[in-house]
Amino acid sequence: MAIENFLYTYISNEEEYAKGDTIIKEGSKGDWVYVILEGTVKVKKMSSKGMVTINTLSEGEIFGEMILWRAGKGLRTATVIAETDVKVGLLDTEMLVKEYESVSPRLKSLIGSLISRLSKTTQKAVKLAVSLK
Amino acid sequence: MSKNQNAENGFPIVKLRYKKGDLIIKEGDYGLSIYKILKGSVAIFTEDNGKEVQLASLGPNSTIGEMLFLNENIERRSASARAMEDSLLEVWHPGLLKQEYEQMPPVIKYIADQTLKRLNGMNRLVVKLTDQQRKGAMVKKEEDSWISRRRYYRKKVNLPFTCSPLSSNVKMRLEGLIKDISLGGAGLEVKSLTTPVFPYGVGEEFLFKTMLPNEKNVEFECKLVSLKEGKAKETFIMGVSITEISEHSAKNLGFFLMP
Repeated sequence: MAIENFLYTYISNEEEYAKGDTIIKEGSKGDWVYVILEGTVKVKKMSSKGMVTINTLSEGEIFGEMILWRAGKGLRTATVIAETDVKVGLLDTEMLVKEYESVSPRLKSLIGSLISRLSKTTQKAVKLAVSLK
Repeated sequence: MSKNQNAENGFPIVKLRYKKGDLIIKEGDYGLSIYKILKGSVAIFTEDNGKEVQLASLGPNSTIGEMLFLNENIERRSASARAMEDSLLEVWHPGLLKQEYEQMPPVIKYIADQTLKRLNGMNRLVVKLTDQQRKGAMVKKEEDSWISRRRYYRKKVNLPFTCSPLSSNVKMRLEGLIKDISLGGAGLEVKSLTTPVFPYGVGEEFLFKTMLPNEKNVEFECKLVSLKEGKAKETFIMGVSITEISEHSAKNLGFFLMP
């Protein structure tokens, strides 16, 4: 997936991570939203039986965006680990929040509903994965 | 189901009452309306091999039926929705939202699209896992078969290794000697720690690297399954179980382990 041009407007910094590095740690505080410029990352959730991989993301994909919707009360809802050497763009959270504020209330409630469903469904999937372990 | 109608910009906003058990959306149907739950609760479910799999249970302020609106690539309802108790829903005509959607900043659209894609992926995963659970399939992931893996031939060695944590706040890399290794895991002697207390707990995941005597590299992801103090001073013995290994590394290790 190519990086959409409009995204560059929001990238305020770039960072590089080596394979195996933790980019985001579940439960920690953090404000950045990331876009992958190069490489792939794994998204993992803590469970009673260790870490469960819930997704693999690649170029052009966003992560850390849950912070925008305050889905985790300001805390990270998953761990993100570099699967390869990775280059990420750090998106200006304040700018994103402002853009989100301009969205109509109806669409906001629609997006909010999507987010909460994604959180719930992810928890359900992790629970199921653990029960099958 | 009973109606109560209003209008905005020529588009009707209808409030519908559903009785407990009423079907609101049927999977596979054509339909474009979006619903917002005002009162009550609604279960979202899909059918898999003739059985219902519940994907979510939603309460007031949640919306349902938004998938078709947000994803122009799908034409039919991707899941069903049923009232779990007597519920009141507001129905939005998609035309009402279309203009608002077009004015939405591209970056928000972009992120919302990805969220939608992930939700779809997660729904599929829930269906798959529920299916596995029902079949009672013993689909144990490799990483938890440490005990059975112990059946593998274990070779005693004295090779240097490094282990970098995959997911910890502690970034300390571990070094030492491999005492024994198999296709399932390894016993590792960690030395020259800079902290008096071992910085990791059982369950911690690492990226393990070593070079075999034939100069072939072996790399795998592993999980700490046991930990004890070593015989020598300030050493620790950790047992790790391999959770992920590339075909290439597995081949190198396999050759090395051949008796």
